Amino acid sequence: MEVDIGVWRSELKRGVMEMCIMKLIEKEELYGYEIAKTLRTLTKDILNIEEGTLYPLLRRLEDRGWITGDWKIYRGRARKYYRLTPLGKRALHEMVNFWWVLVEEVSKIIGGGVMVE
Amino acid sequence: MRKFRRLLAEVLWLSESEFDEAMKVIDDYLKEVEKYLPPSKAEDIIKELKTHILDLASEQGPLTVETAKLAVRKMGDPRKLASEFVVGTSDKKVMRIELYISEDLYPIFIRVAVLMVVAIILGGIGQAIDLIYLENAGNSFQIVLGIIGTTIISIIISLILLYIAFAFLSTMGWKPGKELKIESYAERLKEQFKTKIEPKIRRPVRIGGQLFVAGFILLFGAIWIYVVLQITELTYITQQLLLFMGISIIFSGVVELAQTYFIVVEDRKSFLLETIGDLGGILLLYPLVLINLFPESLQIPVFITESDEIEISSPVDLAKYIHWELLDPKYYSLARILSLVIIIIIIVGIIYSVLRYVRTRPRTLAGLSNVRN
Repeated sequence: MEVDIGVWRSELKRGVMEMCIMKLIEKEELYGYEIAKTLRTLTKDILNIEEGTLYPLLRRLEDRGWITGDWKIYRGRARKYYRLTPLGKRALHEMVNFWWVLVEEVSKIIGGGVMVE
Repeated sequence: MRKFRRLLAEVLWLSESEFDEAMKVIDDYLKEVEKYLPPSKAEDIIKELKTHILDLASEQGPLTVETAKLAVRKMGDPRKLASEFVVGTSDKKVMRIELYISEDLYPIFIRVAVLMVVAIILGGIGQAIDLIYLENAGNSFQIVLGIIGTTIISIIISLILLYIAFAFLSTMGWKPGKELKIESYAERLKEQFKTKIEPKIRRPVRIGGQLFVAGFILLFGAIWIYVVLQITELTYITQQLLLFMGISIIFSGVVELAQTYFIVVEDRKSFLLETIGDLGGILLLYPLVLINLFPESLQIPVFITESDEIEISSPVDLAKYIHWELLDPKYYSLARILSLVIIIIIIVGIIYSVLRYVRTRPRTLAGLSNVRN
């Protein structure tokens, strides 16, 4: 019988979403739709962020001062391109460091790198 | 050639109207979202959401009504989407009262507050010394106790007023060194009246229950006033207190009855009436002020238990078994303190209710034309 871990998965994905989005815009400015599409493509739909979540999340990151957005015209349409601020870069650095520490420590509990049948 | 041009015109005409209809689907959706967004951020958010919806629609091909509807459906419920921008969690709609002190002013607020508290305490100490040693006003312990009480109340009232003053300055966007322009605040206030969000939280309200509650409150209030008027041994202040309590109860009942209209017609309670109901506390201010000034005239009820048989067949009979005695002098300070605390609570409650209403009124659609680009 399959067990439903949908809620747990959503919570876990929500936790890493900010870090992943910030990582995407670290080197290249992207607008919202591009961010969502790139996330989906790179993670094979695992990180499939809903529209209702993406833009509020971007606003929160803006309010924190970690990212900033500028409106630019691209193919006749105004789009808001996001990039990391210096504060955001520091935050991302901390987040990524913590992520690897977390993965290492959690792996000690669950066993690293092996899918359970 | 003529046939080709006619065909081209027909194709173009169809595309244009199809495009307009598709854009209408998107604009109608965004109008709904915008109703629930914070006014300061709405324009930027709507602009971004519109671009996203157009990108989503273009995944399916050229923009048509169908692709627009599919894209809009992917965005989800407009209110839920808007609520994510307000508090960041789903299915929550928050009425925000932005009565806060800005980061620029907060350090100054703290410094002024500390100085003010110290000044009040020193004033209280000075008053105690004056009363005990210079005027020999009576029992030292009682004097000190009374002054501690009034000092605490003074500090609370002063801090509240100071907070409101600093919050007002923050709302005006004032910073140290910046010129305080009352005209710009008047403009901002006008803008805020034009662009507020009314929380449209629909709750299923039963008319029968509402009428029962309203009727019960009105009946209770009427009986209360009737019984009070039958009691002959009351002092003026006690009678005023009891009467105004009764009037306040009836006022609440009238508001609840008026709400019935809105429930029947619009299937919701009126926010304006709720606010008016909250203001009912004003009715108690007059008797409370009297008590504060003349506690010696206040009476307290004492239940008579001397009779072997107690027969109560109506509320008026109940009144016969209650004897009203003047307040013991040793409780005068307590009566003053309590009445003052209740007055403060009522005033703060009134300010809160008024601000809550003033800052959450429905937006006009006038601002929406700026969204289209």
